[in-house]
Amino acid sequence: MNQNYGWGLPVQASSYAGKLDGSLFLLHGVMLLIFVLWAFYMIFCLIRYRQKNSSRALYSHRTPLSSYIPDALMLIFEIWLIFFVGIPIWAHIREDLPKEETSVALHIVAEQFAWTMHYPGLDGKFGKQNPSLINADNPLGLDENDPDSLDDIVSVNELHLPLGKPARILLSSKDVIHSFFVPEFRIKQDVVPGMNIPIWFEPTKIGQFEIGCAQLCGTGHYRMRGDVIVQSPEEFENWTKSKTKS
Amino acid sequence: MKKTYLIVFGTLAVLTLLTVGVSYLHLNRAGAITVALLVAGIKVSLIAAFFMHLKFEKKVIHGIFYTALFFVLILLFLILPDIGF
Amino acid sequence: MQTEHLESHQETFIRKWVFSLDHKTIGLQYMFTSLIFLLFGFSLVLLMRWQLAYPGSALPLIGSYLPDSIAAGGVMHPAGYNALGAMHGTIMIFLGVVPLGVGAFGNYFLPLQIGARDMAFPRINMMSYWIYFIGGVLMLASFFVPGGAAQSGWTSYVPLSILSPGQTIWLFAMTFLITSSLLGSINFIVTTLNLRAPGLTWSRLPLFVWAQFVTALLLLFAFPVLQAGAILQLLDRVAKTSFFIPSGLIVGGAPVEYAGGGSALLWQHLFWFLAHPEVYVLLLPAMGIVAEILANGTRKPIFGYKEIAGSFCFIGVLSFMVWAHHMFVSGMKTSLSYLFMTTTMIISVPSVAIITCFLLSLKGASIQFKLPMLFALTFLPMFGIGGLTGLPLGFTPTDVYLHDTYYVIGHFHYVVVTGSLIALMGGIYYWFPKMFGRKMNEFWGKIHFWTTIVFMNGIFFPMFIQGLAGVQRRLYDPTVQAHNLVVQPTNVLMTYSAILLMIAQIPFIVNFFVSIFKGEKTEDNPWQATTLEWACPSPPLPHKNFEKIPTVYKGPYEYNVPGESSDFSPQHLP
Repeated sequence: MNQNYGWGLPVQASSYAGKLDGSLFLLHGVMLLIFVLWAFYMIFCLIRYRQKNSSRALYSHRTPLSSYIPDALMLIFEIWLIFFVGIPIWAHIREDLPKEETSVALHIVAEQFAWTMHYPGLDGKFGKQNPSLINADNPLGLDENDPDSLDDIVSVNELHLPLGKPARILLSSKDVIHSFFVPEFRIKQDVVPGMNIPIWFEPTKIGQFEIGCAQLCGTGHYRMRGDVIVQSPEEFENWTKSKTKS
Repeated sequence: MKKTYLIVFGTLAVLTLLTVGVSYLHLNRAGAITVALLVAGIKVSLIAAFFMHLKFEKKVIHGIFYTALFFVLILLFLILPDIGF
Repeated sequence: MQTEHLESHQETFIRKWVFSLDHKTIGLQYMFTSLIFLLFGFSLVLLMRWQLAYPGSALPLIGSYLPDSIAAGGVMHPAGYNALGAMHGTIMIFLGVVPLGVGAFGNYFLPLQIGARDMAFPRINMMSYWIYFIGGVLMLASFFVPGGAAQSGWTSYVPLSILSPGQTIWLFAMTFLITSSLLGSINFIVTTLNLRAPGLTWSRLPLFVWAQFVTALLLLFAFPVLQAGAILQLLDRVAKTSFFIPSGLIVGGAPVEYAGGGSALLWQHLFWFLAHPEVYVLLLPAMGIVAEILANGTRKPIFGYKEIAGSFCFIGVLSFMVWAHHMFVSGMKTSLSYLFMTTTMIISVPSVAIITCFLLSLKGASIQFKLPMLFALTFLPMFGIGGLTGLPLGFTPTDVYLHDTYYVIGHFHYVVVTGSLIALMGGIYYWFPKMFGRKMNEFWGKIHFWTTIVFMNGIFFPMFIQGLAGVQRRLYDPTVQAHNLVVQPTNVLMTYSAILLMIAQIPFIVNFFVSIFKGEKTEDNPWQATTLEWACPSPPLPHKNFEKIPTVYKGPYEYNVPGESSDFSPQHLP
């Protein structure tokens, strides 16, 4: 069995996976605490206040202020959670895109039912695409007459990334909505046709991870998968060279 | 009563002609949308007030109408950033 | 319109049982139809669960009888799985739980609880049922047309839904169901506003009526948006407009024949603007029923009546401003997600307040563990799990991992099934004597209760484990992806729990039908309850309910009033 997966969360393999897991644990801890308090109180009441022969229930329409304490605690906790945990982390994930120069920039194009990775190659420029050129050998419709496209690398269902360098990815879809999901990176982003959605993450672990599609995209949704292969920078360089058309 | 309806109908017809007329002016996008929304807004108010009798109704009905309007505005303003412009 | 003039003349069978104007008959029609749909929707999921537990193996017993659009040679295929998934969701929500909670219980008991002779518009009421019926039949018929039923989930996300077969009938059926709900909601609102018995002020309304009233307002304000959205999607499908189709789509290597220029996110916004309030439409009637049963079973006034009613209203208003928490990873603008995260977290506060009030109602009580009370008590922890697991889904840093995994499925099944449906079942046991003048068998009811609770948890709890392991939803065969393999054994557990849950419903079904004809006869007020529905005969008089419209003198839950000899003090007695 694969070492990356178990009965709990998969391994953490990106720079922000730890933060997201932290909030998962925090929230589940609080949920468990609330549930246990409720459950104990309820069990106590069910035993203590069950109907006995001559007992009468307490008649009262009072709503003491103290009964609002749970609501108030909940509200305070949630406001703290949103402003001091939620918004900073979310802004980090969504808005802190790494600079182009220090990152691996690439496009990922989703279609029924495959992921196509499009690296700009050595020149750092993405070649022109023309939908009418799309065929089985050229899934992106790259225009060979465009000099920028000559060294572009196209890889289907295999995402190679170097360790220690953030990846900056532009997601787009050819047909329907897909969702780019790598459990080990804790990243999930819908890929919407008609939109180019930027995402980023920084791999922190060498190995092979899984890309899944998390949004129903048709009959092949279940088998729309790919692999992320995180390599040392040297190996990644070698892979890039081996893929570049000379 | 009948007369009011006829006046409202006349106004609606004039406003429709206005919409058609404005299209010949070839306003820019923002201008065209503004005029179209303005005209449509006046027409909707007239229809709701007179043809749908809102003007002669009780407060409860007004309340329900304005609640619905409020939710529609929420919907509009919160999805505009995503789908417009 | 009061219907006293209708009582005298003799009614034909069709007038009495088929095209009836009596809210009680319409309520029963809704109840039987929705229970059948619930059973049907549940059997669909048994087929799916077999495929999940044993991917690619032939379905036992019934495999060879299934239509080709679902299974070929006894083995389910992906299109069939997707169709079953879409139809399970649609049927359970729009044809099962909502019609049971609103159509059946609302229709039957709202007029009784406010002391009215009928709904304000009996004819609209009848029309609402029959439009619902047509919508339901249309939905079922879609299994047997070429191309099969809708395959894009109950959410019908564009562009997939526009490009897949089966969707047109789904949209037509939805249009019928929405129309039916709108007619019903207008009726409920007008009835509650105008037909309350003398003395029944807003602060004396039973909480069930409050819940139904807020629910009706939610339906009225939210459904037109989906109606519009469904019609736009229909236009996209049949008239080739491009409301939801963006430019430049290439499907299977060829460009689609659409002009483009539409927005795929627009549909999601329109859909969830309805579908989030819809969640509270599923939930509020159930909470209303729980409040009724709790007050009755604890023999004391419910704790925080005003707080609960206020929470219902607050939830109602706020539920229109939280819809986009279903879209945190959809590519929506980040600034919008801050807003929706905040409103979503805040809407959990009134839910906590309601649960707190229900729990505090137990303090100082004199609890009778009768059958309906067992269901109402179970609602509290089970809805608690469902509500609490909503927190990580409304909170963006955790939602990004859990979104569209089985965690979500576990969450909303805990809310709707172990929450709403359990409360609705409690409602059936509670109000059965009123509807039929007989009681359901207590022993078989308890067997039904305990088995149901155990097996429901057996199905839904492992979903959280799967979700945390990253198993995505709507996978025809989860074993294709490596990260799903470790937790695959839970699928087998869930499948057997589901089969056993189906078997556990047999005592309920038998008990239900046997009790209608042979159950122990009861007096008019067997639970010694206080609200107005118990002030009329069981079953209530056709077309007029009450001999004489009662006058209301006090609040809804006056139990154990000091100085009175009996432990309950009905609303209609001075």
